[in-house]
Amino acid sequence: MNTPGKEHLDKLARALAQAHAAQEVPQFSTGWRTAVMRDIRREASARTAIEVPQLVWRAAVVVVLVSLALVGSLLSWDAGRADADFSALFAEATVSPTILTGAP
Amino acid sequence: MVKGEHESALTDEAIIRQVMRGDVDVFVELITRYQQHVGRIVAGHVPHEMVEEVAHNVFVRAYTSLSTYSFRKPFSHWLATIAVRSCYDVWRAAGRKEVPFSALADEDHQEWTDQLLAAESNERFEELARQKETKDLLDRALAQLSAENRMVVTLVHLEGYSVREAANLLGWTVVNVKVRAHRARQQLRKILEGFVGNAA
Repeated sequence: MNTPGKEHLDKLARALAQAHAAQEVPQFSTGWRTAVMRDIRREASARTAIEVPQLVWRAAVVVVLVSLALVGSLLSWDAGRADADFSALFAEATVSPTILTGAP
Repeated sequence: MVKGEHESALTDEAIIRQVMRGDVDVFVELITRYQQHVGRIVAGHVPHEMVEEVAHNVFVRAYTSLSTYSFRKPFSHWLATIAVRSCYDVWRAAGRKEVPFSALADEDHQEWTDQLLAAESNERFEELARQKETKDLLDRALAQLSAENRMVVTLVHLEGYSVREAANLLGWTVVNVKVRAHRARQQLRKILEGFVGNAA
């Protein structure tokens, strides 16, 4: 059996639950929507402002990497060519012994 | 074709993809579609005068975190989680107001509580329950709870969400919500006992 205190408590709780359920949802105006969109556009442009320097940094990193690769490949190609020149010199020396002996 | 007509024919997913490609202006279509949905959720958690401001923040927050939307569940569900979490942030920032029981109900509210508890007919009860004092009293009682308990009480006990649904909305574990729901209910009951005790 319910005590009067519990009955009162349940009654109050029921009234509060009803009050919660009966809450009105405000009608949002066009002005409100415009204000929301203004903030969203601001966020979007702030984001672009952040993204552009990021893009510049990324591009700079790519340029540096490509340059390093190019310089690296040029150096190795050059070194290879120098080796080849030396080999050719010795090869020439063995092919024409007359140069060393002075024979006609 | 008018731009607005064209936009309203698009699915949520198409609009979101368009926004993510940089066409920010079409986001207004999502606001128009879901402003009442968001408003209803927010109105259940924050005072009437704060609903517009919080709903505003919900849409801005939705836009800024749009890249995290996975398209696996409806946009309305995803938006609901943002709305509930935004309300939670409001209460977390506001902090808890410890008010002694005696100060919870002033003379007007005391009189209202007396009348409500003495109401014999259902009509009289309904009439009293519709009065402003009911909502005031509810707000005062909820203000006694921590932000976490307040959210759980509102979602589970006042709005009838299941523990699992409330956990999803808040991003908490089911066990956490279950424990909180039990504790918060006990706490709210104690607060209401204070009202009833004062009225008796």
